[in-house]
Amino acid sequence: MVNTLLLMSFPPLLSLLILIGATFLPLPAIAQQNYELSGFASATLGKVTGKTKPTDNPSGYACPCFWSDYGQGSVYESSGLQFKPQSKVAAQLRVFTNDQKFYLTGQVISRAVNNGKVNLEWLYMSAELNSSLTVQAGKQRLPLLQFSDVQDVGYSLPWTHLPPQLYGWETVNYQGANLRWRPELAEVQVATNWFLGNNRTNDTPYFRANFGKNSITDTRWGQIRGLEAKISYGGVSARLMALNTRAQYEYDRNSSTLTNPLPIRVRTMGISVDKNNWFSGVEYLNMAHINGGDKNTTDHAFLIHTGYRYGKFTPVISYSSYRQKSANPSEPAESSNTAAVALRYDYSNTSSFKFQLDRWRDTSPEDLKSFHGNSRLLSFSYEFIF
Amino acid sequence: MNWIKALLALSLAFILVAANPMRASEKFVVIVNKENNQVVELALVSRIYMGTSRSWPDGTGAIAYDLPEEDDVRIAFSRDFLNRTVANMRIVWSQNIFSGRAIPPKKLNSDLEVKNSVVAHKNAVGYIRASQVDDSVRVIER
Repeated sequence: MVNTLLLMSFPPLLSLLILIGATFLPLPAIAQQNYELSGFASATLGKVTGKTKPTDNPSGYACPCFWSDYGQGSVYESSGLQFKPQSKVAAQLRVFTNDQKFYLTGQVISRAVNNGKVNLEWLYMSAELNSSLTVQAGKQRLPLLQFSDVQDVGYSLPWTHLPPQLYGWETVNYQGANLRWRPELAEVQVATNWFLGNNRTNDTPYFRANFGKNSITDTRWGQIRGLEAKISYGGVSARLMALNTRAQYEYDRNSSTLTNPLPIRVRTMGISVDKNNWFSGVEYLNMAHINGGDKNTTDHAFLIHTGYRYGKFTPVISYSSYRQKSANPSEPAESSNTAAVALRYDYSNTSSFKFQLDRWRDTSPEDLKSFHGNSRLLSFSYEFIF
Repeated sequence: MNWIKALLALSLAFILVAANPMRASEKFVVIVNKENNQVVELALVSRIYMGTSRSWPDGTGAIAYDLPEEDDVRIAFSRDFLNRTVANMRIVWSQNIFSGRAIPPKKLNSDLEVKNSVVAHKNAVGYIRASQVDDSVRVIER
């Protein structure tokens, strides 16, 4: 346990452990082309057509604007056709032993929104202890919601971007370890994932909305403990996730200091149905920031969507909503919703075109509308995997 | 925003006209190793190909084989057995691969390669043209 805590406190040690693990992969086992190289890319163009111009926008973005992904700081500004917010290219390498019981997975992403800078998104090792139990360690995606694992993979999604009210938070990855249990129970599939770790994000894209596009912040989620559980039968799945962490922030790395660690509790639940080419889902998130007394705030967000696979076409409609609630009733709280309609066309077995129309409605009190305002976004994307 | 409504109507019309998927009519059979005497339900085979199940009823890991995506039997198997187009199956597997949840079925080049691999591996499952089946493998009746 001490070793686990030590590893979680020092991500470089964890990386070192993974490298050592990779070094000790038996060479003959990986000599017979026991690797998979795959990747994905999205080229997305978007144009904002807004109605309300924010009057006091502190973010430095040309608004009315559309935040398509808070987690990556992806913002479509009202300055013509935009390519950068959602366009990206990524490669994933998986190296495994002959029996595929032990493998190492790494994923790098280059995002246009970061001017093409290549980031190591994931690096983790997996060991299958038996047919239902897998232990993993390294840098991975935080399993907050149904699409979190593939939130970057445009080709895997029916939208050009995920509904921003529910997807995209201050922390999306973590360094740590997890234990997956997937027993085979006839036609009922059960999957649980217990995870532990921490994460630090410098210049958190999420906070650019509040502190400006050039803000230099520091976000630390320590002592992350979480459990994800999913049960599926036929085409129906139900999912629950609970996560506790202690968060510290530095809102300006030049002039402020790190805040004291305060608890955050995240709870999500979702139900999805996939039958006869219809697919639908409902997801809800509750994120409580325990800052003490009147300073407590809670984020509520939900998404409802439905779509239909019709040959090469997949139309989908969705509605997502976000509402912040403060323990202090006089504190103005942000709220917004987005309605979207998207159409996917499978151009080939590995590529697709999508067209999407979003309508963002800022439902915050008047004195907070300056952050967003209302906007519409038209976006078109070409996505492929390899 | 009348032009947006017009664009949506136009898109819908285009879908109705252009979406008609190609029909492939190859007859195929699902095969497993002859020594696999377990009760093999087709629903389990479907889950193995979708990546949601990885084991046979006795707990041993299943090895699945696929034909090339342009093969008529692969197209018919996806459409008639999995109720998805080949492109839809790629979406399913892109989710499995990029989330690290599962490793896709191994792609082989021909019915003969699939049959020989199923014969060689006790835990294997595959599908081939009905005309290519012989008594070296066990056919799972549909």
